Amino acid sequence: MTTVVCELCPRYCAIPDGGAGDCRIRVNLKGRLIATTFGRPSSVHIDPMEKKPLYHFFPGTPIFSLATAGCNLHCLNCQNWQLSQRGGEEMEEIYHAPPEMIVATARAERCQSIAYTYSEPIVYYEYVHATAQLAREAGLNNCLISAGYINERPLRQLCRVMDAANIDVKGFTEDFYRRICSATLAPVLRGLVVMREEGVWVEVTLLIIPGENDDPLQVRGLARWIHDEMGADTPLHLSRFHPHYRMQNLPPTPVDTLLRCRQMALDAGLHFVYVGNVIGNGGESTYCPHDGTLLIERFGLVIKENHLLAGGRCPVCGNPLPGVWT
Amino acid sequence: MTPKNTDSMEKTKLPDRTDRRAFLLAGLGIATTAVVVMPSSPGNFAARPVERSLKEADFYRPHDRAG
Repeated sequence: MTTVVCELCPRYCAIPDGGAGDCRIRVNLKGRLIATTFGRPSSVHIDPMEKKPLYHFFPGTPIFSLATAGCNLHCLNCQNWQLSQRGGEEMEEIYHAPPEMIVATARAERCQSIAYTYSEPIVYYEYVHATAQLAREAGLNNCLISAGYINERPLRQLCRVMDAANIDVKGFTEDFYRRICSATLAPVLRGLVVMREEGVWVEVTLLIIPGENDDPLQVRGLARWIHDEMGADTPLHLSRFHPHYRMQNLPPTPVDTLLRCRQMALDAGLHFVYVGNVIGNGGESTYCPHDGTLLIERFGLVIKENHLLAGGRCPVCGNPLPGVWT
Repeated sequence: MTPKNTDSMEKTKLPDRTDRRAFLLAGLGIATTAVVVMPSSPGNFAARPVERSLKEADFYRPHDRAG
């Protein structure tokens, strides 16, 4: 009976024969670690790019989005817990969709990008990597929507086939990560730096949970960290919490709190701070950091106006807006 | 509005075009129970595959070998 150690994520699960890792979907079968959801998604949709959210990456385009069961975090507030907190065999719906079928379908549906999303793409790593490789060869973009809880070596390998990422930083203290997510913060921050080094376009999301991570220390702390380590042009999305899963005792985040947090992040020097999950909040559009011109006007997930010139330049000052536009 | 990436609660099953329409409208903040006009689902993925995937994972080692 050979126990194996999974080296994909910082948990380093020691998995006995017949057992599964903490993510539920990486299984030891007689000494071989099997990625049980390879080619077996449980969720496949076409979303707007803004839903990921990626605001500086081909705005307004559809993105083919998929997920399998499983996650290596266990956030009490998980929005997709029916998908993330289950193993593949527990899902009511499992589809047969090998990488080549995903790429072919994305192309047939005229999606220029594929998102690995919804649950946690890190845990279905091999499926993501194989699909992303084929997608890149077919001229499609790959986007990782993740909590970023992964070891450096596999992450660097994955970055070579990724074009963009939105990383959900859950909070900005180890205590928060331990209590709410059963994980740790440091590897996530390290991963963000690795992605920047590898040339992936990165946007960051912080879901603001009332009383848990909405204090100035965490919000300012994260904003300053992003400013110093990732650069002032890294977009930060502050999203509204809604009660889910095991955190239904809390109210939705007050909009005032979100706007206050946004101002803190702007004061910390970030150029692009967005408020998400609230329609018409005043913090969902993109402005030129040089002259304040409204460049992309959004209403919810919809782009009302896109004033960017070719190459993503501001029509007034001509400076390029950071991001990937063409 | 549907929170970020939360549609999977209703949509862990493969969507048909009706679901996609519902999503798109929800994205606009418009409540809908529309039952209409969208062509077929993205792809023809067969549910419940007969064969079982045995894709070997990357990044693991035997427990008795140092990392």
